[in-house]
Amino acid sequence: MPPPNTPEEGLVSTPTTATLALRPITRDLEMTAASPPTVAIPAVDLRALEYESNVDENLICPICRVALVAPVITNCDHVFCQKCLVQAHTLNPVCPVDRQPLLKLSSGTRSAPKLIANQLDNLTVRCPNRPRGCDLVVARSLVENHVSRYCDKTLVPCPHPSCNKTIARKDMAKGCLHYEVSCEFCEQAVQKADLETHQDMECLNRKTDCELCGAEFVRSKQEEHTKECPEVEVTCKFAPFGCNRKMSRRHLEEHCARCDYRVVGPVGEQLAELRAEMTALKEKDRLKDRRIKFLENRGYSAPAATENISNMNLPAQETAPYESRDQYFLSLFETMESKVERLSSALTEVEGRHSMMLFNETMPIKDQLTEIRSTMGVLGMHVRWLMNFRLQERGRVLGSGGANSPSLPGTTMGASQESSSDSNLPRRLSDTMREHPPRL
Amino acid sequence: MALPKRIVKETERLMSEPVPGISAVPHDDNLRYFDVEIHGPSGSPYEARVVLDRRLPHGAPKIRFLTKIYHPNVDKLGRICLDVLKNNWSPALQIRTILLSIQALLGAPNPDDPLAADVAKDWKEDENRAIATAKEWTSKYAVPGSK
Repeated sequence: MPPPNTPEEGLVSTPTTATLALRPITRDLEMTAASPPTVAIPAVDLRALEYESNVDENLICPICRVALVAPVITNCDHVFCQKCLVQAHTLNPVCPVDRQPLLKLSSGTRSAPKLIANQLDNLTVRCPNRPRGCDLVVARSLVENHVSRYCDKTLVPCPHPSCNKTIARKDMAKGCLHYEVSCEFCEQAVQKADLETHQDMECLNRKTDCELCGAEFVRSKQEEHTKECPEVEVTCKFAPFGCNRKMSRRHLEEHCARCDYRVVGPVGEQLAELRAEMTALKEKDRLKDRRIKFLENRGYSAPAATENISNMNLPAQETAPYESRDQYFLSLFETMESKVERLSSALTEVEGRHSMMLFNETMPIKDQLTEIRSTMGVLGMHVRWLMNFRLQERGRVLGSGGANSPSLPGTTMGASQESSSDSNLPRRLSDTMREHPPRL
Repeated sequence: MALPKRIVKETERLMSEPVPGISAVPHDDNLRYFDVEIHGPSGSPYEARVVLDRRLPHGAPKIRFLTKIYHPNVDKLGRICLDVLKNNWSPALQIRTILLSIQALLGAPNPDDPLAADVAKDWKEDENRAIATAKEWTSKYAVPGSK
């Protein structure tokens, strides 16, 4: 896969002069420098990588137990990842392996020999984008470069400025693909960006190849295919009789023809038949038993009547449980009834008590209410009287020597107009009382 | 929280190549939590069930005996007096190494640095009787089927 900038490079580098040929490189640099947000890919976590082969025990960090990342070596010759050692050092300044004092990381450690670094770099790892379909296996030193620059399955931020999702790099040129489309095969709504994986991996109406026999079938018919796929492992026909061989369906016939248990087969079949018959008979027997019991219970009177004559003891024995059962139910019913009665009486009692209680409580409250009401009336009268009294007083003072009597309506008007600047509310209250002044 | 790769690796290794006499099974709901069965080294009177809580990689795991044990370095609550669980913990130690240390402690009780003082006293006074008691406790509390 060429780097994303190759088209431009190809176009520009057609001129033959050396000066011009330099341009694409500078352009490259400019582009990477100018567009960091679009290439903001999280760094590859080297510790999370899957190694293609087993890593030598000597290249594994004793602390994080994966292949060393940025190895450092202590003065006591133990190698750790730099990050791991720094973390461990903050907790306890000793070498984690032999506990030799390691006072300062700067003087106590140095970076590991080139040999180790080279060995680590040569370890082959799988591309972390493997789940998204990149099957590349590459040296560990190159994986970061691969993921951040070349792998077209790397998720990069969507080029659309207002879209904050990520998208595989190969689809970046197509613009924002984060809108829903319906799959042309199964009509399910899928995001455009996921359409391809959906059709390749999930869509039920797409054809797929059987992993075992290579036959092509529609994915929704998977189960049916499994039932007839010649490569699916099945058990021998004679498995119920003891053969525990398993083979692909293709070889079944062949095996059955010479299976050691094929002699038992026919006998076994008969046995199975007999067994089935037996269970059927047992079931029948059970039904009959029930029926007989039922009849015994119901139709006892007829035989009892006939036997009543011949034997007086037998019917008594027979009827005794029957009657007792009836009686039992009756008594049960009676006790229930009495219980219900008792409950209802208790209920009414409780109800009565409750209403009494409520009544008792509300009575004093009512009394208090009337009392309060009367007190309020009295207070109101007092207030009215006082207001009137005050108005009269004022009227007398204002009315220049008391010429106008407060009882005259004309002067009342004048007085009220004069003192309208003081306050309206009390006067209006007193106005109605003007006819009968201090009467309290 | 994602499980650190180290725990995954250690668990895998414990499962694929178990330490003789030790079986450690992680909990289904918390993979940092192990149920461990330890058989003391041959000749020692112990068997025990232990629970191990791993806070990797930089803190020591928390370990406690679930079965009662008559041992000078284990107290009534099942706590263990073992240097590698305390001061001498190092991140380079693994679950298996810790479990091996505990197995070794079962094989070599140290009454001179006791956690259960009464047990240590018994141990010093009459070792044979103490070992008999330890055996009795083991068969009473720790042998499967005798809870």
